[in-house]
Amino acid sequence: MTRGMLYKTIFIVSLIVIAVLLILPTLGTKQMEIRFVDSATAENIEAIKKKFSGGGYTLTENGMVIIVSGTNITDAIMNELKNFQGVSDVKILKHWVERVFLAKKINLGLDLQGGMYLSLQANFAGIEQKLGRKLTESDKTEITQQALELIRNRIDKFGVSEPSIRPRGNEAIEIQLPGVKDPAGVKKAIGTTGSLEYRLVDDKYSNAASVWFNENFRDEQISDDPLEQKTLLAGISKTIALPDTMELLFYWERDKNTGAIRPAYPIALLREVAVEGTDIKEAVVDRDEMQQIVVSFKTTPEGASKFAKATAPENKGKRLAIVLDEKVRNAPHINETISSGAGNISGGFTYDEAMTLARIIKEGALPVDLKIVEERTVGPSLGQDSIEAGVKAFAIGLLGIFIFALLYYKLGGLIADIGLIMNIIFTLAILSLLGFTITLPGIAGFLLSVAMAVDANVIIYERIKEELRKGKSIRIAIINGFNRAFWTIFDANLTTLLAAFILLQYGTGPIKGFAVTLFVGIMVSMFVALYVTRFVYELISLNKKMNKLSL
Amino acid sequence: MERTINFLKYKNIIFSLSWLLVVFFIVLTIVTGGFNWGIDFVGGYKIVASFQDTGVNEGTIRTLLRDFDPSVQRVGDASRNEYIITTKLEVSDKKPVAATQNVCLGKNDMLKKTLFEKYPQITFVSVENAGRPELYRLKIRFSSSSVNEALLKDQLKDYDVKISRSGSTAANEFIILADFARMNQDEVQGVECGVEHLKLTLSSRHSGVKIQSEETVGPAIGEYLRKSAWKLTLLAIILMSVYLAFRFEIKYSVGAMCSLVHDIAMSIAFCGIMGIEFDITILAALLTLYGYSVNDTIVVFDRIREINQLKSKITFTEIINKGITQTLVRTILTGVATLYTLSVIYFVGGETLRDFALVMIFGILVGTFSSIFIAPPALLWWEKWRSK
Repeated sequence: MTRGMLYKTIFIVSLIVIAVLLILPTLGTKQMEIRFVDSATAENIEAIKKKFSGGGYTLTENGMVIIVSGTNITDAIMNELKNFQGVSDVKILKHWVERVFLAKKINLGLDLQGGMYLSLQANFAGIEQKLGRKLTESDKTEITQQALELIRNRIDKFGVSEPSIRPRGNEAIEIQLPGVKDPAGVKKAIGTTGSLEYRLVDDKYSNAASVWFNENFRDEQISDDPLEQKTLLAGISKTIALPDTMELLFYWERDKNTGAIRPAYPIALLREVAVEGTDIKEAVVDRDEMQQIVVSFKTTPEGASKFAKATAPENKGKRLAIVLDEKVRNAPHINETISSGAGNISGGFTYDEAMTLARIIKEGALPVDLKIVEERTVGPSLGQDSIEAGVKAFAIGLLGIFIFALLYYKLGGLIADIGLIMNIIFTLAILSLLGFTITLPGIAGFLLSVAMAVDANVIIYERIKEELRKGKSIRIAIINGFNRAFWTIFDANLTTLLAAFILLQYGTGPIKGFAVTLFVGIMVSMFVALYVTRFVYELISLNKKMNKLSL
Repeated sequence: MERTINFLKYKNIIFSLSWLLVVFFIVLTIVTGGFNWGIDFVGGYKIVASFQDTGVNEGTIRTLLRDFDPSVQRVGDASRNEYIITTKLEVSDKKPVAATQNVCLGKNDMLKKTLFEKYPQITFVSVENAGRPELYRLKIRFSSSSVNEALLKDQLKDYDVKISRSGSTAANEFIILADFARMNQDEVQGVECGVEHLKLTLSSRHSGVKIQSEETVGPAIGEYLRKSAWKLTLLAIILMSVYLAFRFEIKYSVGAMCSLVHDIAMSIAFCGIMGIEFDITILAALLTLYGYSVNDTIVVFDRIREINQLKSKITFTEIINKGITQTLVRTILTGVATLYTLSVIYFVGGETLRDFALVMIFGILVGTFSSIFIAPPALLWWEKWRSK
């Protein structure tokens, strides 16, 4: 073996090891932690145990916490459990690979785990009527972005974890909610316009609340459940003896990775509303004299006097909280009295942060009302049926191809089969790395890509056979076979890749899953056939005594 | 050396017959009423519902829902009693939209809807007016004894209701006196409204109706998706021909495009004739097929090009025949492997993928056929025409 070949071996083996690690969070055993409230009854706990009896789950009980381990643990199941009586919180624990590597688990699409898909559109016609002019494309983009911000602010009202919210083009917003229990409630929450107000912050009580919070709650995550958040805030209010004129709310920060917002710390506000959301006419991202990014705003004539009062000299140094739907999203310090009806908010913003803030302020000025233009809901049992059908089809399809390759190409077939297994591992690894979602059409796309991978092997093997028939030595036949097959395989697969790529641009939900798996699957199959399989044959041809190639 | 099969022997007949078949398929599609567009492309709603009542079948559902003009189709085996019910918004035809689609739920209906959502097993015994216009008396029955007045009251806390038992505890019957005078009506419009009505109609008539899945697509989205579908098909064809022109000589591109257009027309027309519901999944199948069609042709052409470069003294016709023959084993093996996996998807992959698999199976057959009998003759004729 040459030094080059040794390096290749090391390279391929490490790729396989990494790939296997990456798919552990998806295919391996997962753990879910179910926490009960202190008042939970034995029946409550029994109900959970009953749900996980059978299906290959193991339960570990530890006081008011149950840890469920098994392979079939999804966001939808987690969200379903949250509705059980006596359950306080449910979390899917991160697999150790997820912590060590950047791997994510492959999520199941809504068609497989059940859930609700909504596509929303701002009521552009209504806004045009209000503004008295036609909206340009960039107006529409901006309105959609504003609506997106509003929806993110409302995630907790959907009562599910792991929702996905993103824009589709510049006109619509897609929401995917795994395992939603109350579709009507979700639709209602989306249909209402946002409430925006500006209220003064009380620093003394805010500090007291923060101190308590840091001492007692530093390492724990605040629950997703709005009811529990309320209970927590009420508890803190009582401890710090908050006066009735004030209210404790959470300051919400945006998670840079997911784009979702999360409660960060409590903050005490006066109950009295200093400035209404509608008092502000417009807000844009701008730069001040120091070239810092700021959000500059203009008030209505009526709002100017309210603003002057709120920013009066006696309030200098205090903070004015911007509250959207009962969530504090920013609280800039008052530096000077603003009586002109125009001002700036600065705070070392990045451009994105400033855009977000401007959009929130605009929600008060020009509320966007959203309508549902597309809705797809899949019940959990139908999803389960689909998974079973998908997995079964995949297994039968794969087995058939394996046997077919073995029968037809014998030893060569065995090598091809090993290549196919590597194909599957690599494809799953890439899907994990990118955090993709697999859907039922996605499983079909995967299977199809395996069939296409067979094609690459067939092209190569037929070539090698031909070379052998011409009387070439095994070594030369293998080299020629791979060389000649390279461009054929490349050209042929490229067109299918092209089709998958186009589909990727267009597809929503399930179809995107199909396009992604097909695309990744074909890329991987080209790599495996032209690099890994080739290497295996190069190793074989080193054996000089071999005088017959089993193909 | 193996024998070369003369694939081009009957090229005129096969080529023209195949194109005639394409034309025939298209005409047949048009004559039989065009495509069966799915709700993805025309807007509408589709639910999958399972029933506990055993007397239900496609016919009774169709009769019950005649105002919605639905198509009803049973899913899976009869024992599951599960049906797909689809109502489309007509876009192409000027046919009046089903009357109920724009009349939304009355307050009374809202209450029934809430009850049905909380208790799928409910039976509505009677609904009557109780004196005042907005005062109603509903008599309901449950199949299990787990429901009591307090629970019911809690579930209906958004409503102004008085609840009392009717008859003995064992009867599980309740009387709800509902006052709607102070209730606001929810604003639900268009497609949303239609599907709510449909579900309510089903659940008022049958008990134990379970909605397994539900899809609604507004008409604007439908139009958007339809336009994008055409754009994508065109884009796919353009990109593939650009690639072919770039990688091969012009004559090969012409041949490959000829078979691609043949395959596209054939498979689209197949959807039309079979009345396959044309939705996004089918579009995905078609786009994948375009890729496969060109893929298959490229492998054959690649070999023809290679033999051609050997500068032997045989004619171009013989070169083509040789190329097809030498790649024949590959063409068949790959075709069989792909067809096999698709058949597996067709038979065990579940209802959602059945049409997808069917279109793919047909398309792969056509694609394999055309890479032998459509693309090579086109290549030959173009070459002959150019060298004149």
